[in-house]
Amino acid sequence: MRILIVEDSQILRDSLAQGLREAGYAVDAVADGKRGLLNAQTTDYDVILLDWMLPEMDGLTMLTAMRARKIAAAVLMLTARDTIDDKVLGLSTGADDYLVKPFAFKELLARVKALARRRHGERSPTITIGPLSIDTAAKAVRIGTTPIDLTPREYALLEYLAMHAGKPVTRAELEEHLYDDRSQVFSNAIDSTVAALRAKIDAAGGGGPNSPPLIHTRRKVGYVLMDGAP
Amino acid sequence: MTSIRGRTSLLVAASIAGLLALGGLALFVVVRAALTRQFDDGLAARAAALQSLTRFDGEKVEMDIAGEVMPRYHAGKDAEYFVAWIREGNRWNVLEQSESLPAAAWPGDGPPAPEIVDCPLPSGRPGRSLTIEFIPPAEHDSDDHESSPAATTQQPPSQSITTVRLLVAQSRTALDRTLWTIALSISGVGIALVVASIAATRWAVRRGTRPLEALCARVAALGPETLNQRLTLEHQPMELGPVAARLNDLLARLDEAFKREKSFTSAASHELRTPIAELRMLLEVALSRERTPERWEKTARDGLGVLDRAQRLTEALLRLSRAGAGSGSAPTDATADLAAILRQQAARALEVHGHDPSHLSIDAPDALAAPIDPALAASIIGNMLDNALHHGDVAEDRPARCIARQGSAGVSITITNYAPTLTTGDVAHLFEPFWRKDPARSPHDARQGFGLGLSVGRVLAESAGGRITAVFDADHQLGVTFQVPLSR
Repeated sequence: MRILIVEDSQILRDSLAQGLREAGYAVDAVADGKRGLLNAQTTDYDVILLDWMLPEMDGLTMLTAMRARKIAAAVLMLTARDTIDDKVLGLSTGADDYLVKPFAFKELLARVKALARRRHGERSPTITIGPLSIDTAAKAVRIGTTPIDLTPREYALLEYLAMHAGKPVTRAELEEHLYDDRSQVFSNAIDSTVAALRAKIDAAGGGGPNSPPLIHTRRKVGYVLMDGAP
Repeated sequence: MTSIRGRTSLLVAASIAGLLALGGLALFVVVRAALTRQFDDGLAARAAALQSLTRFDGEKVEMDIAGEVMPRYHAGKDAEYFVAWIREGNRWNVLEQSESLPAAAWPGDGPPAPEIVDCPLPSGRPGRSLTIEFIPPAEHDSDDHESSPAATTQQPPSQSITTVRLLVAQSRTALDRTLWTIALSISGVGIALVVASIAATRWAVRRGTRPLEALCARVAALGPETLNQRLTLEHQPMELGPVAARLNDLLARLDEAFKREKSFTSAASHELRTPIAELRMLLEVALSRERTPERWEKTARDGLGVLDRAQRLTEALLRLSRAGAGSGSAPTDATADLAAILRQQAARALEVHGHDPSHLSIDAPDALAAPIDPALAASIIGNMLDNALHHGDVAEDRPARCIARQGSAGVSITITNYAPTLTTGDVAHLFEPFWRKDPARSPHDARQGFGLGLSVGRVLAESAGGRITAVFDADHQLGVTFQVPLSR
């Protein structure tokens, strides 16, 4: 999942970016509304954390411009403006959620997860595909009752594929949603991660000689996660 | 709680009731006097008739009623009475009496004095009697006396001449019944009029006080959320028009004060939330997993930076609050040298904001005394200088200029600086708390102000009896002037 933070307080911006990266998200962070709008136009973000009072272009104007350009990223407004009228204005302009500063990081994380799920049409925090079960709230993966220990990158890839289960996902799309602007992405990074993921799933009994694989390769397209043969 | 309508209704109704009672009483007294006079005239006529029948034939006095038909004096339920006494020596002997009297004579010892009085009748009923005294005329001049019986009664009785005292009495039951009927009628009509007047008074007072009640209802419905509403001045009675106008003025001022307070509270809350959010996020993320000592050190430094800013904000808010609390304080006898303070504060501000001395020019006399507390003056002038050097575009070729002068109106200090991003419309907001040209309210630049400096300065200046004004010209020169009168 890829997140954009648009926040002019450097401390808040850096802290949020660090916390979200450590939670397994690919995070880009900018300090003003103009750069925020530019990023939102060029990258398909899953969630955008947007401050209201911003230099250059305020958050509300940026949100209005985003929605006018049909940018569908889920927007969580982070602001110290706490009146009912402010919240109504933010939500009616196109924000998907509203969080008043100061807030707990856990709450922010929970809201980001919920927004990301909704963005991809998932309402339940648990995604089940055949024997594979992904608890997006706890970021835990199981094959049957056997837990699988995944790296944050492997989990992010599996979660993204699971949210698009049954549909092929291109390598470019995976790269866009799994890596932020700071990451150095090697050409075979996605393939390597998929290989490692398949190995761990097989080891847990999710694939093998007696059962079809869960992650299927589509030549020249990408990957698809589904239960059974394509 | 008393109501104007209730009290007015009560007072008017009581007044009407009192007037009606007095009127009714006066009417009854007049009617009773008239009827009693009429009754007494009847008695007098009867007495005169009987007197005309009394003759003195030279030897004795006699009443010639034997052949008369006088049924009213016969015994019966509504009988009337008469008794005639003749004086013989020192005694009064009954000469004649009506058939209606029982065998005994008129109650009492002898005839009563000549007068009209209320008395009980022998039948036990209440009555009224008239007693007259006269000298009966002799036979030969009886015609004269018949023609003028009253004149006879007016002759003074002589001891040597036979004197007759004649009493006629009549029941006053009919008179009393009539008077009672009249009294009842007056009372009934009076009570009905009082009841009607109460209803009419309530209706009139309710109608008369309707505009007042409408005004009260509108005022009672006002609250913090409806202070933008105004009372209607049209169709207000002459007495309430000025009240409504005054209330509207008061509402306008209250509305403005509420909005200002709400805006200030909202801005202060916003400003205070930002450093709290920064610190919380900084610490929560740092604590979420193990960190290196270097990382913890950076977190601590970042946290201290946030705290420093929060502290400066809190102190600025406290200054503003204290300055506001000190408004209108008692005048001080202290005198400050504003020229010296200006130079002192200029040196401080240049250093704090990292400016070269060439970025600020000062045109001031050696000394400039003003009736103001030196610390207060330093705070006001310091705020003005901070504002100019921090927000203004100042450099060696476009320095901020300070001019201190003494004029007839008082002592003034004007600080002018180039403000390229400012617009004429912004000048009105310069003294608003938390107003900043850049709407971003959580700057990470530690030197960034809070938008409180000029607000604090204005409140302090007003508390010292002075004022701060701002002027912005077409060349983007912003001039802020602090003026303090020579005497408070």
